[in-house]
Amino acid sequence: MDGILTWLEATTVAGTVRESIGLTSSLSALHALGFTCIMGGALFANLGRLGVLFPGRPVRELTIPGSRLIALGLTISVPTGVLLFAPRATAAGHNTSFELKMALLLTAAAVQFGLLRRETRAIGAAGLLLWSGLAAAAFAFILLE
Amino acid sequence: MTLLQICEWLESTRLAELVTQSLYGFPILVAIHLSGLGLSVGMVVWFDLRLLGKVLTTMPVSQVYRRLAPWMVTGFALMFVSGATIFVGFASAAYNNPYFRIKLAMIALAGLNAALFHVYTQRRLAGWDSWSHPPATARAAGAISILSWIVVVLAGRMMSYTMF
Repeated sequence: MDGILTWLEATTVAGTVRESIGLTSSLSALHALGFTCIMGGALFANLGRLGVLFPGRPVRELTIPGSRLIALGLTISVPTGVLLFAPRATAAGHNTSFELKMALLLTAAAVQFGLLRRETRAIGAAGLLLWSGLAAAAFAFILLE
Repeated sequence: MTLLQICEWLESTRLAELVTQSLYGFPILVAIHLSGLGLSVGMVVWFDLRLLGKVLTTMPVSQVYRRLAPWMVTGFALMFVSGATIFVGFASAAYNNPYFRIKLAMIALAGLNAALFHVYTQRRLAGWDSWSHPPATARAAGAISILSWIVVVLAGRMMSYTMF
C-alpha cells in the first residue's frame, strides 16, 4: 500500500497539482460542489425512505432522483478528490479521518445503490447516518489535520 | 466610517477573538456552515427541479414548497449565522477578497430571484400549481436559483485558499 502511495505522489499529475495553488483551489471548489449534490441527494432519498419528507408519496419518486443526484455528485467529487489526494498521498493515506471518510464513502455508496429498490425506514436511517458520517469525517479531515 | 473601517472594528471585538483564537471555535463554525450548506442548497435544489418540471411532477408546486420549506429555512439559518460569525473574525481579509465579493453578489442574486418569485410569479400560482411543466417565468426562477448557488459554493471554497 505504501508503495502505491509513494508512486502516486511521484507522478507528474501529482506534481502539477502540488505546484499550482490555482489548480488545487479549483479542484477543491468542484469537490465542494460535488459534496453539495451528494448531501442534497442523500437527504432527499433517505428522508423520503423515512417517510418524513413527503409522507404518502411513492418512495421511488424520491429514491430514484435522489440517487441520481448522489451519482452526479460522486462523478464530480471522486475524480477531483483523487487529484487532490495524489500530491499528499502518503500523509493523507495515513490520516485516520481520511481512512474513516473512505470507509464511510464505500459503505454509504454500497447501501445507497446496492439497496436502491429497498424502501424501508431502516435503510433510510442507515443511509442518512452513513452520508452524514461521511460529511463529518470530511470536515474533520480538512479542519483538524 | 468606511466599510473597511467597519470590518476592522468587527475584527477588534471579543467575538472575533473567539473565532480566531479559540482552539476549536473556527473548525466548529465551519462544520456548522458546511452542514447548513448541505441542508439548505441540498433541499432548495429539489424545489428548483420541481419548477423546472424534472421531479415530483404529479405533486402541486405549493405542496412541494410547503414540505421542503422547514428544511431549507433551518439550513439557511445555520449557514447564515455561522457564516456571519466567521466573517466577524476575518472581516477585512474577506472584504478585500474577490471571491468573497462574487459569493456575496451571487447570494444577493439568489435572494432577489427568490423574492421576485414570491412577489410576482407565485401570485398567479393557483393557475399553474398542478402543471407538471410550470410556465417560463417559474422555470427561469428555478434555473437562476440553481446556477447562482453553484457559483456561491465554488466561490466559497476558492475564498478559503486565498484568504487564510
